[in-house]
Amino acid sequence: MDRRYFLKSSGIALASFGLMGAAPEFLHQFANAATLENVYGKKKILVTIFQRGAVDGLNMIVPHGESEYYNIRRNIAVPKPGRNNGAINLDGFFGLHPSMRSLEKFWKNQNLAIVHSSGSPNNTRSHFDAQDYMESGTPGYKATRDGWVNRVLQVKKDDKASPFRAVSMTQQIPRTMMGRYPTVAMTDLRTFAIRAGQYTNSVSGGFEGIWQQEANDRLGETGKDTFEAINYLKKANPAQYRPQNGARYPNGRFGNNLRQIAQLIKAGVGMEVAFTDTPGLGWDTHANQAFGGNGAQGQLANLLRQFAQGIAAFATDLGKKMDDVVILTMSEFGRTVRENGTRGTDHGHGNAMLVLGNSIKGGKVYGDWKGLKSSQLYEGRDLAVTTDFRDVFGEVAYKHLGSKDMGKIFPRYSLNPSKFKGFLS
Amino acid sequence: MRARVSAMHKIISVVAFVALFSPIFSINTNAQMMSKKKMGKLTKDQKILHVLNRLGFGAKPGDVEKVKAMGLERYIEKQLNPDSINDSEAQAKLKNFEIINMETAEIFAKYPNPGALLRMLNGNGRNNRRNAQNRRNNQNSEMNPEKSQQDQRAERRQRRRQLIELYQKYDLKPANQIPLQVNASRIVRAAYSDRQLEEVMVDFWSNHFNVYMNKAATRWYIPSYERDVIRRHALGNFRDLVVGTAKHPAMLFYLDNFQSVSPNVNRNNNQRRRAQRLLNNPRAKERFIQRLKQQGLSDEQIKQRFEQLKNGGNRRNQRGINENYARELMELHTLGVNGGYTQDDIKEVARAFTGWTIFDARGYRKAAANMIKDVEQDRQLIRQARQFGISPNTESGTFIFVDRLHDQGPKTILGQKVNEGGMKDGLKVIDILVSHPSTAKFIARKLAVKFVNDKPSDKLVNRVAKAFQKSNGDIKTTLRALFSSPEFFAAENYRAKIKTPFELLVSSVRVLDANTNGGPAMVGLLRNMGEMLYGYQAPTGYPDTAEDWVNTGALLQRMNFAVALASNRIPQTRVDLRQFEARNKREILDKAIDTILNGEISNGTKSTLIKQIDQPLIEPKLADSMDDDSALTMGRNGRRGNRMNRQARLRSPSGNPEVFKVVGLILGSPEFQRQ
Repeated sequence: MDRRYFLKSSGIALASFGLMGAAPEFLHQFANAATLENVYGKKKILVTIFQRGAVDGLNMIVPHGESEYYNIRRNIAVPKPGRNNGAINLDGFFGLHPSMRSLEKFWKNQNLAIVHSSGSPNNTRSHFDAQDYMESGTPGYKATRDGWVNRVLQVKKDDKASPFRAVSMTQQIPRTMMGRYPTVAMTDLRTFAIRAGQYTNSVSGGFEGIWQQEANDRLGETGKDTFEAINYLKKANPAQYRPQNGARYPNGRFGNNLRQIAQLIKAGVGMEVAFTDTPGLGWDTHANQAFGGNGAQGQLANLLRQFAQGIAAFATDLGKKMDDVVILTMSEFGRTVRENGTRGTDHGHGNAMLVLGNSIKGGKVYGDWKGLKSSQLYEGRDLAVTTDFRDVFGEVAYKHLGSKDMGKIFPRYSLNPSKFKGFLS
Repeated sequence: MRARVSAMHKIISVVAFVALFSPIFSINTNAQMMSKKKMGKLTKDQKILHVLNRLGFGAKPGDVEKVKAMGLERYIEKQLNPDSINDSEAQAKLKNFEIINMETAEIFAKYPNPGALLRMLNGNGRNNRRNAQNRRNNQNSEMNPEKSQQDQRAERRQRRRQLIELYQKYDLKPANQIPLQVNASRIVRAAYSDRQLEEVMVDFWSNHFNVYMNKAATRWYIPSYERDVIRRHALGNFRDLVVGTAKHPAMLFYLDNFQSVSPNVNRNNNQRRRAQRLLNNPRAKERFIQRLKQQGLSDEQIKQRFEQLKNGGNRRNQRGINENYARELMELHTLGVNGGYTQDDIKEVARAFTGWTIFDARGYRKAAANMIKDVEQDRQLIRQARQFGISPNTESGTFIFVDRLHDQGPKTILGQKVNEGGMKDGLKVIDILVSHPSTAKFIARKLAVKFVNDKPSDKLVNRVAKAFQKSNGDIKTTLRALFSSPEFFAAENYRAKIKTPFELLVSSVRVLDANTNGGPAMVGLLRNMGEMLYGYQAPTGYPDTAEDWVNTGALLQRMNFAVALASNRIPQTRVDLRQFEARNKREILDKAIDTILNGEISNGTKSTLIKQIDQPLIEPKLADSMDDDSALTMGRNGRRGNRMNRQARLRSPSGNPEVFKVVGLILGSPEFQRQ
């Protein structure tokens, strides 16, 4: 039950009780670089990225081998590979949108996999309901209090877990992470602290003292955790962060969120799941998603560029650490297979998810593909869902995070490893 | 050997046990009383405080004396009858929140749905199509993508300008004011109303019958929902609450019932007729093809469009039964999750509620009509009114029952036949559900968790459930049974509940006698602590137990709130801390502990505080540490700009730092998180 393992078990404990201020700089750095990770050990980490608004999966991962695609997307289709502004070929049938070139090398290194034609068994085309279902992990059932990621943590108990085990780079805890397991939401690492202007240190010290002596009931434990977390972040020194390996995060909040998640990973604060949505990137492209007669340019192209650059920068920045990290992207539903009258697409059904990491059996598009002919579509209009999103979530939870009780994580669904796609071994 | 050890253990624990209860140890100062062994009986003052905490949002200065003078029983009885309490002071403070007294249609008109304005800018009905066509033609002539993007940006800018002009010309207000005003009014009421129990019950029922402000048009309905259903019946009869919420557009919209129609109804009759006409008339067909071609559709797409028409139109518009409301009605509002219903019951209940819907659910018409008097009436809505058999003058956002959307025929619910016909089907279902024993138990347990402790005994729950059932769901009777049960005043339940963020915020305001209008910064802090009212997405509503509320991020936000309040950093909120001024720090501390915690503080907290007040307030080296206020409140990443964001930003601390440090620490202490 005592989760403040760090304070009790490590020599650094002294430092966090006040000696740190007087310690020479090299000691700070020592604490920073070496010790934190040793405390919690190497963790498997899942980074979930939610593309709210429903990305057009058919233009993100282009089925260029499907002639119907070009028949019914006259003005917005992404040209075939080899053509001017053509898709980046992946496997002869699918291709990446050309503005996602930054991800190509991860495909070639077989660290990037796609699960196409995936999504929810529920047919709602409401953003609200579909996001709700994807985050709770119980499509069609609304009264689930907690999110599936929170249940992953509830199921896989860890008495030595860090207060940063689950971090969301959002103002509020997202539905995905809500629940009994304590999680942290923040938008800026630098502001995760007691804030009292010029009196901050004095007030913060006061609070720390008060909570330190509180009994070890839930309230007391959590209070101590809070200050442990604050002190960690101080040591991680977020203001001084420099990305490695020449990684360049795109400007804007999405890039910034990923950069901060990378920071937390490198600081070794014991994080196991991180969440971000894609602030500033509006995927709900009902009109003018493409320009100039094809889908290689225009609104969606710009969005995908930032999206891909963010993920590529993150994976580049982490380098070897990507051995332990899996990035999983999701979006509440796909968009109509046919373009609408305003060079856009409307709310649809099946979509594509990206999975990236050094442990991923990448370079492959997973999932059954039914086709885009009218008769092959869901309700005559949308890409069919052949892979339930829970099969994908489940595989990551089970194989990567080692949280294996699928019945608890996905109630009302019968999930076992035989349903997994196999992008993780 | 082992036996001896265990005997030794026994002796030690017996000694410890005796020590706990021996008079020497329990001549307690208040401080000791707090140290976990709440075994004795509550003192008179503690009982009063307990009632002020549980039946209300904590004590204001002088409250304990007032209740003492009146008598505790009489106080409780008055709280159960809020109309007997003069509340003019709080009412006066509510004057600035016009929304809470407005009808839904008025709100649609004055705080319009931006979607409605955009529709207007694009023109209505026919015009809409023509404008879209023009836009498309313009695009076709513009093949340079770079330039097109510039055009698009220019178009967006122009749209924004036009919107702003509309807001100014017609004196409109932004719709994000609605949740802010609703939240602010609740903060003000909870802080200043003497009808404290009513406010507690409004909080309780609004979570029990939760709706979420950010689901599409739900927010426009919330002021009426709270006023006309939740508050009106907060201490009335449970059945009225269920009927009221079932009929209210807020709930109909939030849980999708307004879209739930009998599968036997083909709403697309008109569409189908038009499609038939089109398919049978070669000239019309040709015109249609030309139009589609103009829109840039390929031959293949046109062929598909015709196939669609043959099959009865756009699939998207085909609707049927939606079970969301039916399920939550049983699982969350009445029977409880293990209340004994089946999936078949859900289907049957959903059938019973088909046809319970909303006219002009998004308020488009009201918003438009208000602005442009000669605007072409929205033909679609007029047609719909005719189809539904209701007056075309029906206000936007009104609950209507449409018999032709109702799934007629008998239903079987929990083994009972329901065959009343029309709207009476739904009402009959509600009767069955509210009188079911599972409902009594479910509501009784929830109330016991709210008022007694996180894990109430079955005995208590059964007693309260009996009162509920015997009185046919009379809420006052049920609460009386709860308040008069021995568990309610049991010492182990004293300060045993963790305050929710809303309770913490309001009780802090009350205990300091602060003056607030619940402005955007205050609401922002409430949101940061995790409990913006009507901000909970799932239909369960905010939880009510410690397990759910106590986590790292949330505690930090609580402490930051405490400091912000005590140091007068919150715009539109003032705290006068002169009451705590004294000759020395120790006296300041004692005054603060007496006022805020009624002198009840653990030895540990107290000795830490004594140490803390001697620490230097400012370390010169760190004095200028960055302190981005906007990160604390509603502003997004410090983006400056509109007035509301500015109002939401915190100020610099002011007042005597020795005092606000102590007061802030106590408000953010573990002790003050309990009630």
